[in-house]
Amino acid sequence: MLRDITIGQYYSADSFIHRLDPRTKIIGTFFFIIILFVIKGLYGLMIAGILLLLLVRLSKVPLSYIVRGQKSILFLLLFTVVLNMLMVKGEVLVRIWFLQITREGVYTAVFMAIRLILLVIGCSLMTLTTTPLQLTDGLERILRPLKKIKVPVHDISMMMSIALRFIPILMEETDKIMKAQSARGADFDSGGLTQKAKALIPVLVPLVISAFRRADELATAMEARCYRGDEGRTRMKELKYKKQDYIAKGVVLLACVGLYMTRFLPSVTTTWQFIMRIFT
Amino acid sequence: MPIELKNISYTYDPGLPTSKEALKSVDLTFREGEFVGIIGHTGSGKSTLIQLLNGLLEPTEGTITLDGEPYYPSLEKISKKQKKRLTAARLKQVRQKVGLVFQYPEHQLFEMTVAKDIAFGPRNMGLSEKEIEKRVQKSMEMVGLSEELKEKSPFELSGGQKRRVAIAGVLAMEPSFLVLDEPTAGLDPRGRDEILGNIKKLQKETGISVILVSHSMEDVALYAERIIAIDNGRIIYDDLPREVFSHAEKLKEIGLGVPQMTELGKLLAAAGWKMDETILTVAEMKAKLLEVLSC
Repeated sequence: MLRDITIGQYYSADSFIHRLDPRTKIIGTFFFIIILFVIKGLYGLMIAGILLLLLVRLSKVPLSYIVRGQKSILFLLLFTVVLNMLMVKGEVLVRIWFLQITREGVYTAVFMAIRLILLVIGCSLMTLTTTPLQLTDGLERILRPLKKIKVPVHDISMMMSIALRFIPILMEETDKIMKAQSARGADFDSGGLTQKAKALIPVLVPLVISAFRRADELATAMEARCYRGDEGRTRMKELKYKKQDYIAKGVVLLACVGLYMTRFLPSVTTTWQFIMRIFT
Repeated sequence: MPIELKNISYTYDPGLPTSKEALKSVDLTFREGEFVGIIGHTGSGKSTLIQLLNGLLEPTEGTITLDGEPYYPSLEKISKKQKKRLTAARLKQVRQKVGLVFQYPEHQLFEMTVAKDIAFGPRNMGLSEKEIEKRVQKSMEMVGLSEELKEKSPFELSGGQKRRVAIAGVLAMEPSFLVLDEPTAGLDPRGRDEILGNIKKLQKETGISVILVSHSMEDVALYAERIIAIDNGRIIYDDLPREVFSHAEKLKEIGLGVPQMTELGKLLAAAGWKMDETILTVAEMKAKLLEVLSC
């Protein structure tokens, strides 16, 4: 049941995207998110979607695998769509009691839904093609200038990588404890909300205890290897930009400019009206 | 009332790139009152097998029955919801009859006191407080926990004691089959001997069937009456310990081995000593040596 979540999970493959420097991917994703919010018309979103699909193809991660991991945002998606559909004012299409669905509402809802889906797929593509370790390494490097104003960049990134690393471990642990308690007759599916919440106690208590135990063991293991924070710490693999990174950055920049330009395209409705006018 | 597995296969993540076939058309029967040892290297399918026995995993193919009644009702005509309910009810029965003790079972303790933790299983079965009390008492005795530990927090106990509490928690459901996944991992030699000795005694006295998964060839040779060896999802041996351990070469090939005394017997035989049969335990070796040396 917990296996379906793919956020924060790495999909092992050898592709151009996998080999990119994590910094390139982080910055690229960052720009992608910004441009998603700058785009105004459906055209822009469509082009962004096509570009993203190409990237997915290039990354060798099966699209079905990514889509399956998006189940968790389904609720958020529905919420956004329904709310937009009902709240935006304009030309009324359907009216039920005090609720009204407008043409503009439907348009905004579709637009928002596509934007949200692209946003999440874009972010998952980054985490799927970058190991958590690379990701935090990249982030640490990007944030390095902040050290000058006494931000503990290294500690933050170390904490992040440990947290990320612990997600699958704790999920596995939860699965194991749930199985063990099921074997003792625990029932997690039936009953009302309070009963269901109560049924989780036999899982949560051992889970928290095991999290503390693991944290303790990890601390010992780190100390045994002389970890003492950022001071004087060197790396086995220094991050270095390669030719491919410059290419990728160039492509991202071009795509961003191109997508920005779509703002000046006529909107879908205008185009549609234009086509209709030609035919009539 | 045996557990029967017919043509059981189990695949993890079917249809995905990560899919893995853990068991391949396995046929097995676990009879009443037996002490069965299951051996196999890491990843051979042992854990999958014991989770199937307890109904925690549903086989991809094949049927599994307890008392001739399947774990998963396969009636065609009933609705999906009805089927789900029937399966849940059946699995509840199964889990009461087939007790499963996981590896490091002490990691699942959660209650404030030892007695409450042991009572978790019986309470889920919906027994009366009086009956629960009785069962807690009885199962604590069975695993050799003294009475004064009852009101202690399970987290104050030693590793070996915690493990006994966890095993008692399963025994309190009074199962007919007790499945143990490496119950002695991480214990000191004394704790190991005590726990296994207790379980063996329990099997002899109450007639409960024990299914012991172990990496220690010595342990299974000493306690089990029947040994099942698994390799790569297939049963390769299912026989008396003496028979199974006579195939030393094959066992080594699949990442297992034979008990040390069996190995010693073979080495002595190769050096010209009169050791023809397969020797399993220290006691047997002692008897044999005395016999050989005295003539």
